Amino acid sequence: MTDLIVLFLIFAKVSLLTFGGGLASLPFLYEVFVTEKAWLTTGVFSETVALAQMTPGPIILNSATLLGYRFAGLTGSVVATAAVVVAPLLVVMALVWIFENASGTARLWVDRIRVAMRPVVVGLLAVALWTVALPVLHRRELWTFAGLSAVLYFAVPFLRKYPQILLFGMALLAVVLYAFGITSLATA
Amino acid sequence: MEPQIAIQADEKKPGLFSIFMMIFRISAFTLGGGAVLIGLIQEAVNRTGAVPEEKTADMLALSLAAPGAMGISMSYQAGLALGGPAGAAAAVFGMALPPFIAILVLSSWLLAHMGSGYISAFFSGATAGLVIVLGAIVWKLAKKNALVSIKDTAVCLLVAAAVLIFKVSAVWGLIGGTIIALIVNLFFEKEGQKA
Repeated sequence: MTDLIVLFLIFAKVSLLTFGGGLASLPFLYEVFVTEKAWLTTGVFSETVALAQMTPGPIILNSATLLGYRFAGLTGSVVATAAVVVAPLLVVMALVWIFENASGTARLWVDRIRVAMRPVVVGLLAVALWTVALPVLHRRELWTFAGLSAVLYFAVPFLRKYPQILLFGMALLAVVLYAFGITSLATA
Repeated sequence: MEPQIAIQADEKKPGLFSIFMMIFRISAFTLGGGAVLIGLIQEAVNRTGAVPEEKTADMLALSLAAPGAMGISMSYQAGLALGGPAGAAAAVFGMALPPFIAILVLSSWLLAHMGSGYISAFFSGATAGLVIVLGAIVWKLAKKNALVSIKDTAVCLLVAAAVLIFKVSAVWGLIGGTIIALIVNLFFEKEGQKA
């Protein structure tokens, strides 16, 4: 029981320290799990991280589920995931409340900050786009896939509504072509 | 015709299950982490037409500014705007559940086949598609929130360059960029008052 509380607190703390994307949480997790507590070896930790990046969903959530599982089975998974979800949510709730309920001078400043943040957010998302695009740009064989995706995305409203179907379709197409011998699709 | 418009606006709000499914779908099939997730959620919320686009842009900003998983912060806000506290709970579950299931079901299988060419090809194909989907979202946002004036465009480029070229961390990019934009905006406000 105390183990589970410790697990909860670790993940609550790490998620509160993590700003700007799940990858930022990994050094903290490494410090706690490998260096400080020596619960995991470096090898197991890197394997976990690779998996967290490969599975869909937020990276910090994936690592919490995985590390929690390694630590205390399904219960550990649930506890770690809950910690990662609940702790930052309290902060978000407070921020949303301030955004919506500020009045007078505070309102004026909240509005100023909101307006000021907008182009900044676009800049940060553009960086995220670049990070995703770079590996594709480096691999000529993927250009056709990107081109085909662009045509489909703009031509088919259904795919704009459910972009996941497009992504899944592209993934399956790559698997099929790989099976037919286009092995360059697999070089990661 | 007037009252009908009001009814329509209300009808646009999806039920709890649709909110859950909307977020679940995004969480279950989106690789690439937080920024991609929040972009897709914003797009999906805009698509419902139930929340003004200005507000969804604010949601993005808040998700980036808050600690923890951006996808969770964004889901909470999206759910709240679409269906109140119950909607928020539905959305957060929708975001948290897929990775949970995926990992419990897939992890041992993925671990065993991680080096496999098929898996690698699968992710390559998905990533190529992702560039287009995310690119369209970022472009749309840029047109609305950054390319509207020279100063906003400059702030946007400055932040992107700081993070990308000068390796400033995203948090500091956000804080620094916001402060700079705030100062610039205040300056223009004052100028406007003088004129």
